[in-house]
Amino acid sequence: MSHEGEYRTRYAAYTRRKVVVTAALALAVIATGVYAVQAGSAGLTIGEVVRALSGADGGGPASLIVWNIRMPRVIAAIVAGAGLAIAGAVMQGVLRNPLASPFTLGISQGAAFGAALAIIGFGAGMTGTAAADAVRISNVWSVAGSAFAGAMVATLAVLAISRTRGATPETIVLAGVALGSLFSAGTALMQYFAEDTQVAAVVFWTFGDLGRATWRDVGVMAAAVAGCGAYFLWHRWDYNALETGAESAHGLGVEVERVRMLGMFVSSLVTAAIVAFLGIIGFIGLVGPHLVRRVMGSDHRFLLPASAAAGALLLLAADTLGRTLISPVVLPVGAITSFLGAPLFLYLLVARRRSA
Amino acid sequence: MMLRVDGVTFSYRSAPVLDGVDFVVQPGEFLAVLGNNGAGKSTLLRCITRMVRPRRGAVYLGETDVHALRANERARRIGYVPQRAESSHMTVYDAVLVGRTPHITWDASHDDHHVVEHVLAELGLEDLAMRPIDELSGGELQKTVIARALAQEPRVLLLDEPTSSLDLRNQLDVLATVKRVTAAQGVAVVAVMHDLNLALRFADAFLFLADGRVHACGGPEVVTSATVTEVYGVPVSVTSVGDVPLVVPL
Repeated sequence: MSHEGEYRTRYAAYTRRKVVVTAALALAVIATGVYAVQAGSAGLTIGEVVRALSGADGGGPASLIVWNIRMPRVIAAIVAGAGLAIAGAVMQGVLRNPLASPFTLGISQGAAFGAALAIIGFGAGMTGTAAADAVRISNVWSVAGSAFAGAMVATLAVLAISRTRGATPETIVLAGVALGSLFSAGTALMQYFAEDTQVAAVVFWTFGDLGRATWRDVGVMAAAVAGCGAYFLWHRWDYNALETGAESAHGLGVEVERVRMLGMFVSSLVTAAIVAFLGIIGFIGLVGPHLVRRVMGSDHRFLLPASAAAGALLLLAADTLGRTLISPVVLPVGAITSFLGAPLFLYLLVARRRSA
Repeated sequence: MMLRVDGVTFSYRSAPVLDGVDFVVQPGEFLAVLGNNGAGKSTLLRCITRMVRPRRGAVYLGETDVHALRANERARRIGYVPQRAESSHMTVYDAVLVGRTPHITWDASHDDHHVVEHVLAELGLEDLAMRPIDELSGGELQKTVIARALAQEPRVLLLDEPTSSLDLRNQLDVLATVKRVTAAQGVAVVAVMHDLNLALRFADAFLFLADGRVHACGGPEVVTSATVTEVYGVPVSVTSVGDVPLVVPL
């Protein structure tokens, strides 16, 4: 049985390669993170950054910049990128729709609407006057809760449409686009009637920004991403079974409707937690998992961790680019990710047409 | 363990699809479910695996009421291969490993990998193990999908038109493989089939469904010109070429 032994070795090498790619992505996140902490108008050196991070400089000015300004931003990028990417990976899996992601299904926009409603409508925060300080959240739980409610409204609409007869992946994404526009219009209108009306605030919600994340916000997001990530990992075999089709998954003992509903529910939760604090950041949830699927396939055992790393890397790189491109002007990261993601989305649409 | 379907009745809204269907399949036996389109054949398989809930009746495996089991407990006993095999970007090995889902709690164990290797060997898929399933031919994909169901180590294997999209050579190959493996392991097979001659060649028992009712059920002796003519509404003659029985439309 020599050839049997041969494929065993090859399978072991095949899975090892996936682990190596994931580890390489994680290392790239760390390296980019260190660079991102250093980069900027303060002119810090890598040495100063390392000393500040290790606490060796005893709370000097470098330490203040690193810990109070740069680090929350970098960790927010990593956490939000990872969260959006795993949410996208699971949505693509449970809906069997390669075009699905929090942004393309309108769920991010729903969450932003919910958050804006809590802040402007119910006074859970206040809108400031400086562009960099456009919205400040005072009651974090009511904002996050309201964002989740908005995300769930969009999710339930998407699920209802996906159940109708003959709903193709394109139909569902079109519906998502419509939902997204609707919520965005609602958000814009609300800000128009808000007390400190300003265009900057509207832009702020439409194109997410990592600059306003405090350590508290990062903590809440990290808890949500970690909890939801653990839930997704626990169900990775169910998602793999769904890759074989809904009927086949039923035959494999997967409670298809339940796994699908809960997968979307938890994805919306993680999306809402991120959007509530950072605004809408498009396409990370689409691009991250797609890059990983290209390289290592759709096995959720490896897809989920690698997507998390890829999403973190993409968002961190996009934000660093936005900060350094025409420094000291900081471009909103949501605009950068859209430049990255929209072409891929169009390519996927066209490629699907051709294969259909 | 014996599979016993007991008075299964099902209807979509008002239209009855299955009406009091009874039959029994012994371990290692291959039952072909035959009948016209819309006779309720696929619905019967869906009722057995409880994808839809029968209005009346029950399905027993030995003494166990299959519908009272949890989903993964059921999947350890009953494997189901639906009509359409969906392809995706994963290797044959991983596609078969997914068949271990009902046995896995946290991660695939050494035993799970051992079962996959065993099934791949039995179905002659070893050389394809590392091939992505979206690059397989129809026959190879169908064998992979059946391998996945066998990796569940089921006592009953439900096949919905397992050969309808295959060429002649692959039809014979896939059914011969299924027959050999299930007979050796004592797995009961219930296969919805359209090709009467393939059914006659591979099945041990035959169930004719007409308008949701059992028209005839039994060994090769029930496949008579009269029965086939009544069930399909087409005059036929049942003859044989050498040892092989043959149904010829007149």
